[in-house]
Amino acid sequence: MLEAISGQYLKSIIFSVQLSAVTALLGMLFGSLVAIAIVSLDRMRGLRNVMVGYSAVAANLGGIPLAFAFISSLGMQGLYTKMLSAIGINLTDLGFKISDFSGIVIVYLYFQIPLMTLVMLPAVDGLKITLKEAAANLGANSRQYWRRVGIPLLSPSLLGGFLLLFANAFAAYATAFALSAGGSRLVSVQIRFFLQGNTITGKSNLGYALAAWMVIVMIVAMSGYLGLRQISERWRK
Amino acid sequence: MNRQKLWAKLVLLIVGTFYVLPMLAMARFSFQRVPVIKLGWGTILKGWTIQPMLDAVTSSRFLDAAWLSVRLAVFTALLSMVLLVPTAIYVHVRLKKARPFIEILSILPYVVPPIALVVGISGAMRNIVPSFIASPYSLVPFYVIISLPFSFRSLDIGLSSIDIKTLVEASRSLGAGWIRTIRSVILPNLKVGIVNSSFLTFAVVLGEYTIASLLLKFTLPAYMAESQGNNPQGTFTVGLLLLVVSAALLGVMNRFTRKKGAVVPTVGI
Amino acid sequence: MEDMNTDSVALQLSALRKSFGSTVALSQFNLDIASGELVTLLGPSGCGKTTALRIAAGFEQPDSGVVRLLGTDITQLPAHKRNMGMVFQNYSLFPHMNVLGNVGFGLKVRGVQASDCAERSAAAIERVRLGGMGDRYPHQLSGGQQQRVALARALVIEPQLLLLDEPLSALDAKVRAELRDEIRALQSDTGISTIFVTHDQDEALSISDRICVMKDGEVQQIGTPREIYFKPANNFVARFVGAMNEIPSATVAEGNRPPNSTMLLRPDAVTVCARGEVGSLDAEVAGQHFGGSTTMVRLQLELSGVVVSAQLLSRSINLSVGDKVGVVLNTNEAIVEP
Repeated sequence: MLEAISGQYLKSIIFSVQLSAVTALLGMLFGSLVAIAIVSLDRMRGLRNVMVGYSAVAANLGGIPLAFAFISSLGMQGLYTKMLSAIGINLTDLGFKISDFSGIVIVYLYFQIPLMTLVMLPAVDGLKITLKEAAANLGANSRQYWRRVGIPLLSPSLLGGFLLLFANAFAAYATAFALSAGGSRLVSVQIRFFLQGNTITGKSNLGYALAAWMVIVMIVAMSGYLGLRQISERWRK
Repeated sequence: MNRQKLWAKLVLLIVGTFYVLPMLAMARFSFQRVPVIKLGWGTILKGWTIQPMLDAVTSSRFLDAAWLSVRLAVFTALLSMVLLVPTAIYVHVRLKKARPFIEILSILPYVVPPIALVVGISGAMRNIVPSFIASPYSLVPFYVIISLPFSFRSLDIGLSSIDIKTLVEASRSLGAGWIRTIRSVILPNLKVGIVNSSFLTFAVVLGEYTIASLLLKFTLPAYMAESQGNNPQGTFTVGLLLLVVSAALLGVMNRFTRKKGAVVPTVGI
Repeated sequence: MEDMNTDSVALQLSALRKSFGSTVALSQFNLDIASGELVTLLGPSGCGKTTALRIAAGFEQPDSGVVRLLGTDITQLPAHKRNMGMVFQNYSLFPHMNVLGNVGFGLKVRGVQASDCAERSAAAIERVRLGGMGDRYPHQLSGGQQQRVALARALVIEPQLLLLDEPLSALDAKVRAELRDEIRALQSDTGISTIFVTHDQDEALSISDRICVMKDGEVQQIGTPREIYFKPANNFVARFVGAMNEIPSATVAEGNRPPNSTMLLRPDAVTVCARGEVGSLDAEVAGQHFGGSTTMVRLQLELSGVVVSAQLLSRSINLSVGDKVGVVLNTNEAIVEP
């Protein structure tokens, strides 16, 4: 167990945690904005259906096909890589590589944002219009409403969504694997490395240990999620 | 007020573009035989072909993999329903108090990463029944577990939306026995939930790679990982196909669900 | 109330018109609220009463017409600058704030100092008889208590107008009557001009200085509760407020009634006497509803077969179904509909 949190393994755990945290944070931000946008454009019913429907699909995507889609977009030979370089923006010079941290972040956002949207929609729907009216009636302008009522009310859902996204990214494996052709530093990819026998035998215990650490990280994230869920359900009544 | 709506439209436009662009690039790569380098206004309409897709789809490796994936998906969906439908009904009618507990159980697969799951179970199984891991069907129990958050939740939502307890009481007080109640009252009302649940399970299984690759089973995603090198275009078309099929499954499900006024199953907080 | 000059008008709604798509919610709506007065908007659902209130609060913009508060045109003023206190049917308390936080919200966003804010909020909570409950959260309170908090929250900002949108509809009967009287008492004490929206005629009759009866976006009658009850301006008002008997004029042997008209008569204008008394009609008791202090007796007139209801003091009668009695219709109070 201890070897699994030392040296390069610790680095890969930290790498995974950083990646999960960054994608969860960005996913939370954009996903919630989308949810709020959908609700505020409620009159356009068709728009909502399209967005929710596509989010339900995209949130469950991932894995190899998604990696392919991004390789053909932003990979070395990707369509948009070339289009950008044609107008003088060279992604590689900017330090962007699809199999690196920045690349994986972009790809993960493809399922993180819609997942957050789906998670937040019920909460945003639950922000009853009369609460906004009550606040306005008591003299609060739009900014005061969001600062004192809207965001505090959404905060358990936001935080819970963050934890769920974190867990989601932490467990993801196939996408990163396909993006990097097996050479990624993610914990999940490393575990596979140990268990596949590509390496000196006797290290499979290390694989088990890493897996155990993964579960521990996940349990912390998910218990936080469940706790916050209870608070927000109580408020919604 | 109007400025706020503009802001909302802008957000949706940006995110929508982000959703669409990779799919377009993938489609182009799959069906156009022109290297990106040579792409320009002159070549934009040239070289479109479905040959790589045909090659891929007719190769025996692909057919083997696809056939296995479909079988696995069907068996997983069946086993899930056989196990989950009675459980869900029982919990709703008799064990309301156990619901939070069951709900936690149903998101457990989120907590235990597939990779850790397979490490644990296969480790144990290899020692007890070595032959279990050898069969491709050994994936089915894993898949039942990893699709649990989706399959159980859509059944649960289906049951919550029809106030099953009152229905059962009404049916029983009108003289129907348990079997008749389940057959002619609960199941017809639960149809949407069951269909949704099966579709989601199906989609999850079709796309699952982690466990299959760890147990060295040759499913569709495993095929894609393998042939990415020698027929990239063909592989990408298969990837695209898989995306389209899962999107269609989920799309059909969404339509179906909305008509009945139920909710899209999400992990909602 | 009749001779209002402009100084004493708190709120003036003139020629308001509002439609949602093809449905007209308000047309040519005019109403003046005198300062310190409680006016009820009464009508069936969909009559436009809530729309009128929401226009006053600034949540809806009228298609045309003017809203004036103390003589100033506020039609274009956004809701949060209007200084009106509103109480909603579903309470609309902020669920993440305790009672003190909810009541103090309006003061905080106005930049009132924390100490001053706490003091005034506590006083408001005391006034709605929730003293000591400042640190409770909405989900720990009963419906009646939540609505008191909402009331305190609306009153603490010392609004120029109090808007009550069916505040009692979600409560059960006993709490409803209690809170109704308290609202009236608070309103009289503070002297805040108030608009009260309801579809419940009993509520309207008991709480209001004046009632505005509405139907299909139009005002049917504006008057004191007595005027509305005893001198309804038209058949709709007569039928909507209080119970009514509808009696074909032909059954009543009086020459000056048009032949094919209908006579509307309140059940409390019908009395029962011994058969054969002067001016009485022969009838048989067809049924009765005991309602505590009064009993509603259904009587079938023998000549015509028409059934009329009579509201009688329970103590003064002892009737059973099938009893042969005489009925006196107090036609002076009747309204004749051609």
